[in-house]
Amino acid sequence: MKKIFFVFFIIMIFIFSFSEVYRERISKNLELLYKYVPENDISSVSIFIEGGSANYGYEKSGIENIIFRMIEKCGKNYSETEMNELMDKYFVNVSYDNSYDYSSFTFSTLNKYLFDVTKIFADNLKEPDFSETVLEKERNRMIDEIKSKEEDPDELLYLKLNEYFFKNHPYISNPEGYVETVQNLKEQDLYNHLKKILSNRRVVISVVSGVPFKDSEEFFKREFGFINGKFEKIKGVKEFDLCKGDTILKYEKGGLQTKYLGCKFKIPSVKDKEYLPVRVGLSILSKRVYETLRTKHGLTYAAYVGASNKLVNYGVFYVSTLYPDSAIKLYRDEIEKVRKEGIKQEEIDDMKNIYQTSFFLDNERTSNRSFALGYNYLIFGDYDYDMKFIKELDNLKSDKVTKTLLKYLKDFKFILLE
Amino acid sequence: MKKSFYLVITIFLSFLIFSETLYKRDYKSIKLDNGLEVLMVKTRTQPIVTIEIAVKNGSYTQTPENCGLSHLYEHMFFKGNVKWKSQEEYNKRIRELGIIYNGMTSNESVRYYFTLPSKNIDEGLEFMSYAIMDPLFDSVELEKERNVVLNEFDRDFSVPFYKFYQTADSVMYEKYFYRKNTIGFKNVIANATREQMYEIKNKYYIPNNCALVIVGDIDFDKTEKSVKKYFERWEKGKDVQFDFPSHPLLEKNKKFIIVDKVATTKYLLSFRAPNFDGNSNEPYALDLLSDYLSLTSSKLYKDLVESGLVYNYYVGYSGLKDGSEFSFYLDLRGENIDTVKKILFEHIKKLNTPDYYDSNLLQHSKEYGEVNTFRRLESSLSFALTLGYWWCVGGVENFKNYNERIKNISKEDIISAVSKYISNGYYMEGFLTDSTTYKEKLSFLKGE
Repeated sequence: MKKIFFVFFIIMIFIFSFSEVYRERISKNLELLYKYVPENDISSVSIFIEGGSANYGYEKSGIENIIFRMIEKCGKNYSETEMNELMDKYFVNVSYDNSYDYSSFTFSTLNKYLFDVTKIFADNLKEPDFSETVLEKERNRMIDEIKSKEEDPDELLYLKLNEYFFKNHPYISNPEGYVETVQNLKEQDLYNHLKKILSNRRVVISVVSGVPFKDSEEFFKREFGFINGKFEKIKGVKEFDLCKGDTILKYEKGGLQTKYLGCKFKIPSVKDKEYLPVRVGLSILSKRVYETLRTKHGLTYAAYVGASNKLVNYGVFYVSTLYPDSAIKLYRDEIEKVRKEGIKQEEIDDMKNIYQTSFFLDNERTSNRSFALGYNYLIFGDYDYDMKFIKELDNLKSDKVTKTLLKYLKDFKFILLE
Repeated sequence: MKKSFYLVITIFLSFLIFSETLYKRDYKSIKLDNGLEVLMVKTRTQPIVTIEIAVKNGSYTQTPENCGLSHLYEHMFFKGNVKWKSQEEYNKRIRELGIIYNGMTSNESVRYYFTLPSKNIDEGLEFMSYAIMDPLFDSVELEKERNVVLNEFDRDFSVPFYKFYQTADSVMYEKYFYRKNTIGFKNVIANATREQMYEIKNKYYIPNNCALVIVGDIDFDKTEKSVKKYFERWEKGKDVQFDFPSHPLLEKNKKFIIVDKVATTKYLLSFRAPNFDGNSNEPYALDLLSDYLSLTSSKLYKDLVESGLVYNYYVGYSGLKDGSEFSFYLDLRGENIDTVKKILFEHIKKLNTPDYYDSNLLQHSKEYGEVNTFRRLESSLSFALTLGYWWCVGGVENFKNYNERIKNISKEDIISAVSKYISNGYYMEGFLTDSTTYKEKLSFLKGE
């Protein structure tokens, strides 16, 4: 019996030691986070650069997005044709997320190709090729993608909401770019910008892999050692500049079979201690609004309330319906109900269950894990932040959620697309 | 010492004998007396489980009179049942158990899933059993849900893309389009009755036409016990006969055009292809061909995308039992349409010649497909949905052997399938474009 217990104990330590995250500072502005998962066949690497739209003005909107597209496409040492062949050869998947607060580039491959693939992307980052002939193709593609977004009513509504809500705010520099800004981005702009961000912005590389850290450590240091600048702290981004009270703007698109209503309102920063109760409160409000608008009244297929996750933050209400006036009235009734009756403890406990499932579900994919590792560390300084977020829900009380939520349920800026 | 050694060997051997794996995961399947197939897969990365019911239903079982009701039925699944009667009670139970859920209706399958913490698996199975076996179809709820689905319909048809694909199906499968139309006809949805819901339930929602798929952090024995406890009472129904008339083949080349406010031109070129039956090599050959043509190192990619003529393209074989096609879908600037079509047809012309294929690349596309399958199956939810889909459309054995079958496909198999269905087949072309491109390049299509 003693022996069995001892073996079990050793196994647990073994498993625990393998799930450790290694953290290594490579230079003043570059850190490496590495999670070794022995059972993984796939390796995923995410590269985060801090700043997002704080790194450029309106006229350079889209610049970090096009830089990442170009890095995926080619480099000084790898032509577009070579890259296409290598990406196939090494079974590579690439994705990038250009957000208002950071830009990230994620790639995944089989463990056995981790070093080959990482070397290629490190090389493209170090010696990119932004020459006009290649750039022109990508710029055209990006412009047409931006134009295409207006075809989808949901995308168009989102763009119109942002246009209004981010007016006079740095977030007006849309990371996806605008037609008029992308068409003016030139070769030299891209070289200058990449050099600037790699030399004075915080960079985090997060890796989840079946390759042991001891076999990778030196490799990552060597390949990314060229990112060696100073670490300039980004000044806090200012609050949104909006009038008090509710507003509603109408926008005519034409050709729509239903109407699309969206609204944004200010909520605390994702880093603020009030964010947790507000996020949970909005999830509960979302459930109530969905049940009222869709389940009870059959007014819509899609109704949603939620919190974004930005450093300067906003909440959202969205519905597609032929009856927007009724939808707004019912939405307001639900807010009034929160004011009068509050949020119940039982609702918070239920929401905790859903958050937990969703957290574990997200964690199943290696690329999600490498992304979460880097994102949590970059934004919260804690790579385990989302796990702690889930645990903190245990201490959340209903009166706190109600009180905090009500502070922010005001000054709704509606846009109606019809 | 000797005893322990034999014990270890015995345990090891019995593991080898009784355990089965499916894409590297422990797998077990059983069939209950009522005909319900239960497919269980162990994934231990996270403490969650996905419980899915897959039903051999969907648009292919529809008639003109109930076109759209497979999908409306799917919505009604998430309403009250004999145990959790009201919608409030039903939703409350979902939250208590920490369930993330959804339902999806496609051409040849309807699938419902609950993902929840694995500690709640017993309660989750009980909840699923009542939802699938004992829906109430409350008439007030049905009336409300009809409006919800009508809003979904309106949303779909507000997007030019969606109209384009619906039109493509209506042109390709003109005679029996209602068997390809998942969202359905508006008037049918607006007038749907409880009786129609019961008709679908009695015919298709019977254990011998469904599979229960359970993927996640589970124990086979305990799960099996719970499954029997909750699903054995499900009454067996009359075996479903899926003997519909075949969709007629195209008798000539067809074209259609949609002019809308779009930034780029979408071009669709489709050939009718063999239905998937698991026996013939042809579907596998066409699947491999689509993977080959999708590689970024393929000649097609170089000529279309690297050249800057096309932004991106998709090649795919749909692999269905009731009407399949092999399609090319391209996204491009309207001004390039003539050149792009010319290049594409030149490639198609060469698809039945051995020289077109690079043997190393063909081998690589086999491996690429395999790696992509493993990537997709990293998530237990995705695993469950894929398995459920295969159960409905292709069968679990074919899912299991898919990569082996692909490995055995030769260049000659591809050429033979291409010659039969593509080189000598009629095709359908579709264009979604803006008014300028239409006037300058495609106005000759007027009246098609």
